[in-house]
Order: sequence, then structure tokens, then C-alpha cells
Amino acid sequence: MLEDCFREAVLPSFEAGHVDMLEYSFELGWARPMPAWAQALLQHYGHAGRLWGHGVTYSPGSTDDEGRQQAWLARVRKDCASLTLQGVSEHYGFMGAGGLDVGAPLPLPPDDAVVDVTVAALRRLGDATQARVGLENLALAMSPTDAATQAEHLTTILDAVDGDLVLDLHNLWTQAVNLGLEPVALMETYPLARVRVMHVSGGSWSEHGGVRWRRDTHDHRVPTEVFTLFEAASKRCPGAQAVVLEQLGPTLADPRAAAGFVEDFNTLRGMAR
Amino acid sequence: MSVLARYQTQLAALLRARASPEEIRTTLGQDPALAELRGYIESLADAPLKVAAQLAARWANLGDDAGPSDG
Repeated sequence: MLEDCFREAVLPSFEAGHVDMLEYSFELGWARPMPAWAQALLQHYGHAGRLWGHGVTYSPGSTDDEGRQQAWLARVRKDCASLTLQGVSEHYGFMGAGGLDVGAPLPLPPDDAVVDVTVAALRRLGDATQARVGLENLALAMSPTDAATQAEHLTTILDAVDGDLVLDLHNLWTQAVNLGLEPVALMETYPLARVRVMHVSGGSWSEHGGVRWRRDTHDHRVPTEVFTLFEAASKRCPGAQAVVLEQLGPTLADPRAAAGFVEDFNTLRGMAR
Repeated sequence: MSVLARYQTQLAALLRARASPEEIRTTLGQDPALAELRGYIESLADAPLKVAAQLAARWANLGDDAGPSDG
């Protein structure tokens, strides 16, 4: 996050040496000129071997979006030429087809081509970045069967490329509460031995036709249930090296929200050590 | 066009057109090219389809009722 309010909220944690790693969201760096302080942090953490890269709009599950994917890869290739990354990840799913964008990664149907298409896209990502590649589990699932399919797809895809699972615990919890699934049981359907990075965040609720629906909006504090899930995940992911706390920068303009974010960070840091 | 490509193209167009969940299931379900996905299409629930349509609308700047993007 590049907003001044985000920088002000996290600066004391950096100065205290409490931030062990960074994850660079590529698209954030493309949306506006990168401030000097952010460039310096990326270089510092890159040289220290503590920097990961993460994308949202590559859409590795898209079948006919090669033009967009090539443009995305060209920008990432340029970024990676000046940064040392421990790995580069994207989201499972697709967010573009037929020249239309849908704004967020969407689930993929149970079709064999899903694996082939996504594996090929991840290989192109690996070639472009010369880094280990990974995929993040989604927040959105269309049904309990779809949730199971996503875990199966991710397992097969990551096996094919020897890739990493970016285990997003709020996404996992979101699927579980929306679909009436047991969160730890759902987590155990994923290839947990492949987890090197975990994501932790908060979100919000919306209502659709009387149905309360959890969303991964990154605009509130981490729920207690996600901290509990982090504890369970820590015991099941022996290869985990890094934990990323995610919250949208503008949501920290309120000093109480900023203090809450730092409190969540310190809680997570205490649990991770 | 493959089944996967057809599904993605059709769903993206329906979401961008702000189709209702029922319209989405009906249109996709009646597409002969998507016959092998019929069970999956019938299982698409209302709430996630509405969330997906909101996100697509927000992306297309078609309205102001969409929430923040979901990861």
C-alpha cells in the first residue's frame, strides 16, 4: 500500500525491526508513481532475500486472454529485472474472457482444460520472472462442490509446476462460512505441504436476497476466527516461511483503524514466532 | 472454441450485462456447447453470482452499488 496513512501506520513497526518480509503487489506499483520510500523498501527487502511478488490481474485460468497476459508479463518482467524475489504468485481462477474484464478472479468449472491452461500460464510466469511460482486460493466459491473442485485443481496444477500454495486464510474462512463448511476440514483439502506464504486479512459482510455473504474486501480488522485458523494452519504447514497481513491503505486513514491494524500485526507476529 | 473458453466468454458477458442469477443459469444451461458442464451450471448459487456481477459492474464503471474487490 502506498498511501501516506498506511505508511504512517506501519512506520513504527519498520523502525522497530518487526517487519520480517514484504510482499510486493505488482498492480499497486503500476497504478501510480512509486514513492521513493516504497522503492527503497523493495530494494532493501529484496537484497535481504525477504521479498515476494504477488499479482491479481494476470488471470492464469483465462483461455483467450493472451494479449492481456502478455502485456502483464512484460510489466512484471521489467519489475523483476530490478528486484530479487523469493517467489511470484497469482490467484487461481479467471478474470477476463472475450475481451471483457470481470473485476476479480472467478472460480473455474470442472473441466480438464483448467489444469492445462493454468499450468501453461504459470510456466510463462516462471519464465518471465525466473522465480518460483505460486497460486492463491480464492474467496469466492459457487457451491460446496465448487470449493472441493478448486482444491483439487490447485493441487494438480501446483504438482505439475512444483509450485507454492499461497494459503489465504480469510479466503478459506470466507468459503467455509458462506457454504456451511468446517474451515479446518476445508483447509486440509489443500496441498498444505506446498505452503510457503500465508495471507491474513479481514473483510466485510453483504446481503443478497436475505442471504448473508462474507466477502474478502480487506477493509476491516482480522476476525477472531481467522486468527484461530492461523493457529491451525501453522501446525499443518511445515514449509511456511512468511505471513502477510493485508488491509487496504485508505481504510487506515482513521487513527482507530490504523491502531487496530498494528494490533492485528503484533498479534499475528506473536503467534508466528 | 473449447468448452472452457465458451463458458468463460459467456459468463463474462452475462456478468457484465448484469444478468440475474436465474438468467445466468438458464442461458449457460441451455447452451449446447456447455452440455457437459450442465450439473456445475445448475449448482451456481445466487449469492456468489450476485457478488460476481457486482464486481464486474464495478470494474466496468456501470454502477455505484458494487463493493470493494474481493481477492
